[in-house]
Amino acid sequence: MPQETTVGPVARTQAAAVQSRKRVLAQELPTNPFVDVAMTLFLEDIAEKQGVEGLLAYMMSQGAALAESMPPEDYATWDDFVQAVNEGRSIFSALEGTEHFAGYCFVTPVKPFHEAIATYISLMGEMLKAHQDATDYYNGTVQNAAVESLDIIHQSFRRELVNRISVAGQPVRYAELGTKGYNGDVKLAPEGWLEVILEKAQLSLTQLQMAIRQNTSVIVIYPPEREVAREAEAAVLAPKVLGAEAGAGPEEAVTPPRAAAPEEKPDSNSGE
Amino acid sequence: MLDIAMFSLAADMAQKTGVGGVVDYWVRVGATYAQRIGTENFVGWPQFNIATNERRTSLTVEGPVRVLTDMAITDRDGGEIVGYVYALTEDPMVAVYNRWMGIMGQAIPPIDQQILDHYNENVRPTAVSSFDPCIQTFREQSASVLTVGGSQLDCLHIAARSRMGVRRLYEPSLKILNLEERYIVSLLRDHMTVYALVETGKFDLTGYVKANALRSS
Repeated sequence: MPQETTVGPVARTQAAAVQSRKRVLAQELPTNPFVDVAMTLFLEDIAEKQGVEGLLAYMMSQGAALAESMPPEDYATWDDFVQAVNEGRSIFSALEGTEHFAGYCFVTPVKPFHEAIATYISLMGEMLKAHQDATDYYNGTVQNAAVESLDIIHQSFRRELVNRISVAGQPVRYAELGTKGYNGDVKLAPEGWLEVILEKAQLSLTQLQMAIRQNTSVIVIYPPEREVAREAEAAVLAPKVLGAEAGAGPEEAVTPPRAAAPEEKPDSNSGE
Repeated sequence: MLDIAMFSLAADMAQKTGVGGVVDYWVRVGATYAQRIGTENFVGWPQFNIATNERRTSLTVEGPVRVLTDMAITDRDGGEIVGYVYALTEDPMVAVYNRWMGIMGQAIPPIDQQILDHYNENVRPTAVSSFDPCIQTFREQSASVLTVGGSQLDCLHIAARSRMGVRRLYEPSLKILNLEERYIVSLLRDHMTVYALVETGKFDLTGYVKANALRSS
């Protein structure tokens, strides 16, 4: 007899309320993809003026700044936090409909900017190469977790956002487990660290595959008492070497280049 | 998500380049947007207006555009139709404002007002949102690569109303097109943007400042 797989503790009786609230949010707060496309062109303009390093810096600072604009949250218990995420009441699910999947694993069914990408493509055709260049640069220098350029904003946003969410007074932690691009490409956590993060998430590999099939983002949000050894966690953030050029080692702090003013070219040798 | 992130980006850029620098960027984005969508040709005004109603033109990518067929613009002899007045029931920025307030639970950041004030004081007094430098440039540039019946078009911005009810009418357009202010104000009850498309060369546009006529950076 096949083993029963569990996919999360969301009570069926709550599902209707959750969907109702999310429908209300979607109806009352629709996006206008025209504006999203304009923002994408804004970023391409920055790439043209400041190069891929400048674009990366701006995208990371934009994600972080958006997160810093969101009000902080504190939940009494982990279950309260999970329920708030599921019902769209938490800042973690306000923009992207994030839901609890299983264990400490959460998923985003559709990334918040995929409609923008669809509109961009229908209006203008293929996205410029600058997007792929920025994605490769991010994966090589910051964190090997992006499958498309707007993931840079998305992940930078989440990285900062968890600093604003506390459960019983303790800020939660976050790790990327998997992401699926608009074109269907899937990127999971780097080999060697996948096991570490799956253990943190209390998830099996089969469940991860189930999650990434049905969704576009799979992340781990966990309380600090689930920390693993410091060396292993630092190594999770280290970039995987994609080509001959090596990225930062696990013992080095990986910080993005500072965004320069448009008149300046960023100095590739400077850093923090 | 990108739309509401614009306030964070704009505030960050304003710190580095000044508010004028942000306006420069937005104007450039509007021009790039129009250029990337590309040229369009229509056989005549009826075909163009049908395509507009069915949202099949470059000028309808921002949202539904209403053709005000009772406001056909004729040439000086009064014989030939050389343009029309168009109106949008909703500005693209309204969704952004609503989402910011609904999701972030905060008032619109001050950078929004700073950008539109800078544009109004240094370029032309037509902005009612921080996105207007971009979208108004987009409309004018898109129109300039449209042809109707073989004629290129000029887009003349006439009026706009903000989400909070601030109305801005552009006097040069009212004069050039001989439009009554009362009627345009009445249009702004049900619409948020009013503009005209006219065949290039049919009107003397002296006094009309283009959306991308940046005088400071």
